[in-house]
Formats: sequence, structure tokens, C-alpha cells
Amino acid sequence: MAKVFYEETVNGETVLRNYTTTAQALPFALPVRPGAGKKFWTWPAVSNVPGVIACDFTDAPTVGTPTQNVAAVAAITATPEVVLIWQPVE
Amino acid sequence: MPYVERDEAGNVVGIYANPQPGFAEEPMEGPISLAPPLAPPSAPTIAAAAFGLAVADGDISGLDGGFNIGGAIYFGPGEYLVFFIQPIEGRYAPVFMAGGSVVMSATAADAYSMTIEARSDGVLADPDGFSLQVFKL
Repeated sequence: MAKVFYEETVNGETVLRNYTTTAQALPFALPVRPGAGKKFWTWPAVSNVPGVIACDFTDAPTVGTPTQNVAAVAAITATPEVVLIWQPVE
Repeated sequence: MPYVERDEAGNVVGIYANPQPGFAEEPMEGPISLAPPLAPPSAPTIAAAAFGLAVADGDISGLDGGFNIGGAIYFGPGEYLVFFIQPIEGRYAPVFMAGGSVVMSATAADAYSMTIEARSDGVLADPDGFSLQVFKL
């Protein structure tokens, strides 16, 4: 399984999205969402996904061809804890 | 006068205005018996499938496998979006498998995705999980 985080524009507003896919489908899913040339993060699992409120895509890889995506995913070293921001627990 | 082409069983499989040397040299006389129509496919065309989609704590928390499924997005309780890797052109119909009294329906958003609703007692609510197959119509 894999979890993908990306941004998309909905009615002119940038929205943080995430989806669940399989490791096999991941390189082929990325060109569909978020789409070629767009930034993304992905990890096999992320804790408390509904609590994620923001994501830093500054150093995120960009979507390319499925072959390029395999390499891009393998090169990810940032952990979710580094780039994701969760809703503070009150 | 038209000329006919026959298969090995003697069925007419082609009619031509002019003789076709080698395969349609027989003049057509009287009513003809066309070859029987081909039967419809005995197996349906499945355009996509996702198995073992787990839903827990406001998230699509698992996906065991499938084909032509890009991923599943959780929008809210009982509301999801599933997108495809290859677009499904034309009409298609999803068939859901979920436990309990869950009723699921889907609306094609575009050739690449469909929105899904899951209801329990008529109210949008998350099932523990579901699977789906998308049949091409």
C-alpha cells in the first residue's frame, strides 16, 4: 500500500489531498493524480491521516513517466514527520 | 448480378457487386442464408477492480489490490472518489461488495474517476471496507 499527498486546485483554491493506492499502481497513478510535473510525497503508511492539515512540498519530487516515478519514489528520504503538519492535539 | 463468398460450412459470409477471383465467384441466386450472428461475449468486460478497500477513522486505510485503479480518496463519511489509471470511455457500471446493510452507489465524475457514496439506514456512513468491480457497458 502507498499513501500519496499532493495539492490540487478546486474552485480556485489550493487543497491538500491524499489518496491510497497499491505499490504496484503507484508509478502509474501519479501521472493521473497529481499529474505530470506536479509535486507529491508518498510513503507506504502515514499515521493519523485525517489529522494532517498541511504539507511542505518545497523539496518534494515531481511526477514524470512511470519509470521516472519509480526512481523518484525510491529516492524519497524525507519522513512524514518532517514535511507533514498535523492538527495540534488540544 | 452480385457474387457471394461462402465459408467452409457453406454459409454466405460476403456479397460483392463483382466477382472476386479465388473466393467469390459464385453468382448469387435467390434468397441467401447468411452466417448466424456471433453470440455475445460469454464473459463481461471488466474495466477496473479494487479489492479490500478498508475504511477506518476517516481515511481509506487499506487497499489490497486491483487493476486499473489509481487510488481512492476519502472526502468524508461515506463519500469517496476512486480514479482510474486508464480512462474508461463510454458507459460503465460499478458493482460493490460490502458487508452488513451498507448500500453503495457511484456517479461517473469523468472518464478517469467516479464518486462513491456509502449509506447505512439511508445515512452517509463508512463501511468497514468494500470491494468493487467496474463493468463496461
